[in-house]
Amino acid sequence: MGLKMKYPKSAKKSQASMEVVAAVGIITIIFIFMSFFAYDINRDRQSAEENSNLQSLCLKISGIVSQLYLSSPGTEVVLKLDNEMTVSSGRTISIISENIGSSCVSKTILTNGTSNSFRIGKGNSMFRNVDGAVVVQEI
Amino acid sequence: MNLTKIGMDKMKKRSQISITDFFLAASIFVVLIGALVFVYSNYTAKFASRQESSMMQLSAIQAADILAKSHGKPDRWGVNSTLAQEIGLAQDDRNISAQKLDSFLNISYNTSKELMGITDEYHFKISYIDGNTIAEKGMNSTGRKAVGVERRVIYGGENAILSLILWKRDDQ
Repeated sequence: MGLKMKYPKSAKKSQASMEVVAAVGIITIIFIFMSFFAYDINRDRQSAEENSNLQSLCLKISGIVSQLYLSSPGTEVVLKLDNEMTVSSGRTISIISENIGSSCVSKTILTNGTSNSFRIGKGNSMFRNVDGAVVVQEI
Repeated sequence: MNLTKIGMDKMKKRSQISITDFFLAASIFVVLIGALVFVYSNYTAKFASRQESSMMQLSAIQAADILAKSHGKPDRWGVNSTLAQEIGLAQDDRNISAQKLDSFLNISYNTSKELMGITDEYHFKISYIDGNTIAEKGMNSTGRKAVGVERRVIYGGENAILSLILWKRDDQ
């Protein structure tokens, strides 16, 4: 006849499962946040790496142009370009990739023989010292 | 009844401990992720700074070489500096022309930057080996980063040092 105080089994189970659901929910939120963050970091890193490569190439070309300028007339260098290059006003060299571009300023004036603003496509190009001026042409 | 109460208390304690553990672990995890983000952004900033220094160094080397070794364009730009397309101070390799040096000093600072292909600020100095200054142009560094290059040259038949410092303004 005595009153039996017994915690219902179903209630126990439901409490435990609520905790699990809360834990799983928080973990999922953290992982979603982490995934977005990792994606963002990766995209930034790739972009920085690509930009760095283009900048290096630009400086390499600028260095070659300076060396050619200081060399005797007739000196030439053949360079294989993996990217398109544009030169504006004879000084600003821009290397263009699919998504990104990088530019640097040449210490000497570059020309393609007819103009100081021109475009050089991918592939082999010849850089020459022609009577003290640096001339670039696709070959 | 008492036994049942004791059983319930134990169960509550267990559940509380496991949730506390979970939040503690989650907090540690978040703190570690925060530390990782901080380290990564710090590394990226350092990498960018190092790359910027390398570029400035290359630019300074090229500009100093051209000043010390080339005649400039046209060859006799020293006679009339308004005709200058490129600045080179040499009459022969590393032998500095007094006339070209004078003309260079008379060109405005911004025009000289354009003619040298320099985007940063600069300070140019040419001095004898004993330290006596022959000529100076440009602004002393007040910025956040500077790189310098020196070249041995001849001026008036005597050994001299051509020094070129490139520096970045705080807002550059």
